[in-house]
Amino acid sequence: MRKPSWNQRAKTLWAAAGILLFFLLVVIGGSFCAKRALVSDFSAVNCPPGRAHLFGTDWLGRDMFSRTLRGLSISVLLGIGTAAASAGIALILGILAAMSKRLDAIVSYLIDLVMGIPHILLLVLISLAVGRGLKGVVIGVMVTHWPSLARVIRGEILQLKEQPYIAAAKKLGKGPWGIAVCHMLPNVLPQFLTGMILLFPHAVLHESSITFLGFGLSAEQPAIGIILSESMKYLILGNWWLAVFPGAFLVILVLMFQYLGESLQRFFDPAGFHR
Amino acid sequence: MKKKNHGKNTSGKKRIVLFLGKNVLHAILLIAGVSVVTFFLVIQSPIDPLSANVGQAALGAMSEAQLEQLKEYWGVDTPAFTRFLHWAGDFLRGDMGVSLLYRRAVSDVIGEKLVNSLLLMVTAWVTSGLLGFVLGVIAGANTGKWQDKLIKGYAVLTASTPAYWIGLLLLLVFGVWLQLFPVGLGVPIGVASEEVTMLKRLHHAVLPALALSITGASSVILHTREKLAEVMECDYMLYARARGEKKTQMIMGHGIRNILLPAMTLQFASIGEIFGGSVLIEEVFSYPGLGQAAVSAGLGSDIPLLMGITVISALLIFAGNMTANILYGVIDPRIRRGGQRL
Amino acid sequence: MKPLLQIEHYSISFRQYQRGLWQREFTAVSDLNLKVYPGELVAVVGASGSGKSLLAHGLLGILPYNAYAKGTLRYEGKPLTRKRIQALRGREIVLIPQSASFLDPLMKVGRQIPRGSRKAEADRMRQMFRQYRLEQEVEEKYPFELSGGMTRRVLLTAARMEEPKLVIADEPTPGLHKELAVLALGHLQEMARQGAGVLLITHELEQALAVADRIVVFWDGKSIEERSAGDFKREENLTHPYTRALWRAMPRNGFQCETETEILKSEAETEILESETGKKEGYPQGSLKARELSFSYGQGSKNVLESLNLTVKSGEVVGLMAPSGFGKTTLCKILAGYEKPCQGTVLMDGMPLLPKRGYAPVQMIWQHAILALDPKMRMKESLEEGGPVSEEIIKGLGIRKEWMNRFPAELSGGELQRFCIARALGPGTRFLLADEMTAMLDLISQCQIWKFLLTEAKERGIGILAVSHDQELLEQVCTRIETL
Repeated sequence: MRKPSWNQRAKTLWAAAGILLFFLLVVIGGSFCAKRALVSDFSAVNCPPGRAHLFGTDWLGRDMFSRTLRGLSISVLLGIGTAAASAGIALILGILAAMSKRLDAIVSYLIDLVMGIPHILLLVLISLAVGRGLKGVVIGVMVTHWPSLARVIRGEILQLKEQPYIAAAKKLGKGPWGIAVCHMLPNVLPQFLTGMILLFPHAVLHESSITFLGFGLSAEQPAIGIILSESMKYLILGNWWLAVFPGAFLVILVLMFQYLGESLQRFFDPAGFHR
Repeated sequence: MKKKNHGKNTSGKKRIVLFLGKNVLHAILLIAGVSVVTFFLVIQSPIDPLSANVGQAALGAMSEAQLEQLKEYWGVDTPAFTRFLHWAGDFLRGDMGVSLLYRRAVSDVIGEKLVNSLLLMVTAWVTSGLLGFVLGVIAGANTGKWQDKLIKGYAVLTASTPAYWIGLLLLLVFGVWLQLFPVGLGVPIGVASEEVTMLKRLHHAVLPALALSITGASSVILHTREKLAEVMECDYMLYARARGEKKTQMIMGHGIRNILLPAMTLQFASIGEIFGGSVLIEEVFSYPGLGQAAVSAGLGSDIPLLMGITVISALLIFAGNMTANILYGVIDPRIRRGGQRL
Repeated sequence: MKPLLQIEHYSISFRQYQRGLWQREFTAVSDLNLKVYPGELVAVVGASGSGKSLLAHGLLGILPYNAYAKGTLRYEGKPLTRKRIQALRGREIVLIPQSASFLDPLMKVGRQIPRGSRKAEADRMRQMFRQYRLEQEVEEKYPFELSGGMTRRVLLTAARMEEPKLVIADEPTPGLHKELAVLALGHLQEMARQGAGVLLITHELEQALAVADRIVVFWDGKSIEERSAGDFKREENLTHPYTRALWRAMPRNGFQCETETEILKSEAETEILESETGKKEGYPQGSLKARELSFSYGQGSKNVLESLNLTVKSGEVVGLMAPSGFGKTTLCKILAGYEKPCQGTVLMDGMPLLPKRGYAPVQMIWQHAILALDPKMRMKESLEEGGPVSEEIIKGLGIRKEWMNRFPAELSGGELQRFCIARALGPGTRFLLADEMTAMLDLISQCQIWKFLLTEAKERGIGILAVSHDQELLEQVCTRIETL
């Protein structure tokens, strides 16, 4: 009767391993390129992509490949950190909301409040409040990305609380701790993990956006947002490589994380996932 | 639970009024919250508005009295809470203060910029909504086939792409290489704004609107696709099939009927995202809209303008959410006619 | 006469995803043979959850994407190909589905029942509505506004929009109380009398016997026996052991079941009979009392329960009869302490029953066992949630070793219910509330489970409140029956 489809399972696992390896390479490569990304070389200004400079150079002769790699590594690290922190906030608030009606009202109000201000604008405001820079980006992304996941966790816990099997477990003598560990955790954990990974793309995109607008990382950092915002002035001259490569690689990075999250989702809930 | 409420139209009307009242009250509470949070975030800023706007050198050259006057103008020494009450009182009377950057009433600045932005946002909102719905239906009706893969691929790709980068690419292709569209500004430089024809204005808005529509469609596509695929598996679809209905008949007759409302709800609730996208896109295309004004207000610590824009955008978002809620309450017969809770 | 529908060696299997991307193949129907003649009502009777619905869907060519069928189907002598069924379904071959969920929730009845927008269609619908005594108002209603009986008649109308030659009715009576069920089946009988072939798919043998000309017994994916309804009057007419067991398990035929558990049970029973007087002192005497209970969902809504009084003494089996929608489940939940009553109190041994931590003395068995079990826990863990369960109970309920390591989704409703009962029979249990405990189960499971429970309860002095709409069952198992 049992016909395990190892094929798909293996494929997903390999893809996930490949993606993780890619992130590792980006981070390691980025740290090696940290210095090179800032070195100007006035003998090679505005070079189009070629053998010497894979992604070309900018108007200061800086190697765009190094800058892109460094920028991506900053994005990965920032993204992972902020997504994890934001997911943590979501978990805590989601659990709190499920505990009592009054807490639920407070958390719901907070969610509506955060969602009521356009993300970008809220990021600008927070960044201003803490004085821009790295701190602004990190805090901003952290406190703006939790609502959707908090809602999911709250909903899941509330729905679980209504389940007859939880009520029955209580009557069979399971204490609150036992119920949390045996019944709640196995059901909430998958949602939390996938939710956390799926937060990453948003975190990275918003980080780069806010940096692009000038409220994020400082101009000395070769973050993708900075690179792209600087490239604007030179696009009219036809220096397309300044914008195309860094942006494309950012998209690839985000897509990979998206894929990772969806694979995990499919893994936890194979039947509920439309193919 | 399934007991009907026939002949009790008055109670139905009462319910709707109650429902609307609840929604409005909720929105007011949230707007209040938004203004408090915004105000204190802005106040919190360690960036000194005096030196940021007037400049350190100019400050040094000023007399003590002038400085006092300026400080009062910027409200540096008054306690934060009093300042908020002042601001809120003025706001309720329709006075949003004076923009420090534009040196004009905030309401005037917002009014002017909002019209520009609305042109972009409404175009993008409508096109992305329609396009997204149609593509979503095509994908959802053909799950697993090539059409679905193509459309889903497009949606996932655009969802993972920063809006401003799409703007940059469009600028590069259509503005720089093909030179079909201007590379920036809502009106051509050096032309008085009265002389700008509507046509020119539209010409300048095409690329930004396109960029905004491309990214905006992805969530509607994914949502519609998922919903239709789900609906296709429902009992009533199975029965429709058993009654000999063709696939197109099923989708047109039952499918769209059952997914239109959620899709519209989503679209109304996505105004915030469109607004966020417009901030970035306007920056890329130097389009003189609300978003660009918000960015300059932020960079220049123009507190009154930033406050005004935040509250106005929050109002837009709440209006969208409320419309979505009301749509559900008024259109869905299960809520309109049944005893179900709203 | 030529058969209208002929099914030979028909099988349906489907793939199902398990945890973590494992796929599994299930065979729901493995070898089905069946004929339906014009003017005849044939019933396929099988245990719930045995893939009978898939049979209906397979015949109509509307199987889900992950299922595929093998074997031959003939309609009026010619093979029923994919193309042919597409042209016939909805016209000559119609389906009568189970419930209102098969109607578009956002479309008015009067719009979706006619197959087109022509006036002739609407006229036909009105004519049918009159025939089924449905008022004109119904046209303007949405499916959620229909009562159970109205839904039935609306679905019958839909089936008769054209003159069908073959009617397939898929479990048309679950959740309907007896009167309505009889009425619904009567309509089917009438359609057969008018010359259509009717295929009734159901798990209720009794109901099938009341209306069908022939019965096909469906077990383990196969059609094991085909008999005229008259043959079911006497056990000797039946050949297959399963059919015979089914016959004996019918409440009116003595409610007997014959398995290793049954043998165990009858031994135990005699023991109890012998020492009845002596044993009575052995367990604590007491009672579970509901005093003036009232309950409603939220303010303003109608009371589900109104000043209800009820007593169950230790060792007693009290039956509670009520049609659906009379708050039976709510009553059980209140007695077991899952819900608080709006008014009134629940007393055990004269003391108010307060919610306490730890194993509760009043346990409830839910109608749908699958809901009472954590889908992510293996059966063994679920079973021992209230502490270790004795080997005798496990054996007595016929729980097999190989079920222990499975997940709830991998067992049938009858198998799951055994686990739920086993874990509710811990040493601390004083009273047991059985809320339509066996309504979803086939007759044999029903019989086995009740037999065991009755002896166990008697031995330990557990008081049982059995809630059901099945009067015959209650008469078999209860010492006293109350009607709400």
